[in-house]
Amino acid sequence: MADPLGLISSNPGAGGVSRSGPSAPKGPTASDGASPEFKDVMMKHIEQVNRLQQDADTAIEDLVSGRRDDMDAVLMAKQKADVAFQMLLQVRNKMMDAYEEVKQIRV
Amino acid sequence: MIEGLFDRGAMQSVERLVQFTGERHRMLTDNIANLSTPNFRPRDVDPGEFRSALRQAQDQRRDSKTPNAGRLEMRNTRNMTFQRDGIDTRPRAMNRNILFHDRNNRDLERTMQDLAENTLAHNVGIELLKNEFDMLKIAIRERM
Repeated sequence: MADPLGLISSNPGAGGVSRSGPSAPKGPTASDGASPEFKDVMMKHIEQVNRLQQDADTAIEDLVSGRRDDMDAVLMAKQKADVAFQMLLQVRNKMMDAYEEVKQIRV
Repeated sequence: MIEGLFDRGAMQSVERLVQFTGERHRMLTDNIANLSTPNFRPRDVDPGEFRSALRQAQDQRRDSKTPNAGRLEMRNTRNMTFQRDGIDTRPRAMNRNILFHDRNNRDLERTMQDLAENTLAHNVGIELLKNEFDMLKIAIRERM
């Protein structure tokens, strides 16, 4: 179970649930499909939120030390970074909810 | 782990700003209180001095291995000593106006302008700091 997220975007023929034995292939090979893996999309968005937050932090530091004086732009950047982070958090919460629901399914 | 929560990002810079503006506010109100005291010289600390000290500390941290984490090492200046949780200031007399007959060189307009600017900076700092703490709390709680 090195890559639990990979199960979602496995190749359509096999069906993720049926090959749940210990000898199942370690992870899906997404090289044939054109669609990106869910994990990659998720990681990309996490990166994006992280960068937004770091940029906002740099902007605040610059504002405080007098390198820039456009207070409105800095506050705007900070708010955007905050909302992006909250959005990511909520996506994560929903994902955990879905995981809990799947866990309840009896096989 | 706990230390790392608070010396990350812009939090320390904003904390220093709030400390400085709080300190300066005290001096400005002191000047206003003594507006008609004979022989009184209004005293102030230079915000430019504070900013350049802060800039130096930020540059030092940005050049280090961890550009946006770690303690902000503020170097003491001529009129400011940076403690761990506060700033000690040595206010200087500002001789920028002619003396009145009571040997007080008050400058009401300039004082009011300084006070307004300082208040604005303080409020922005408080707002930003509150924001940072709110975000941390949200991340810890995992709820909005």
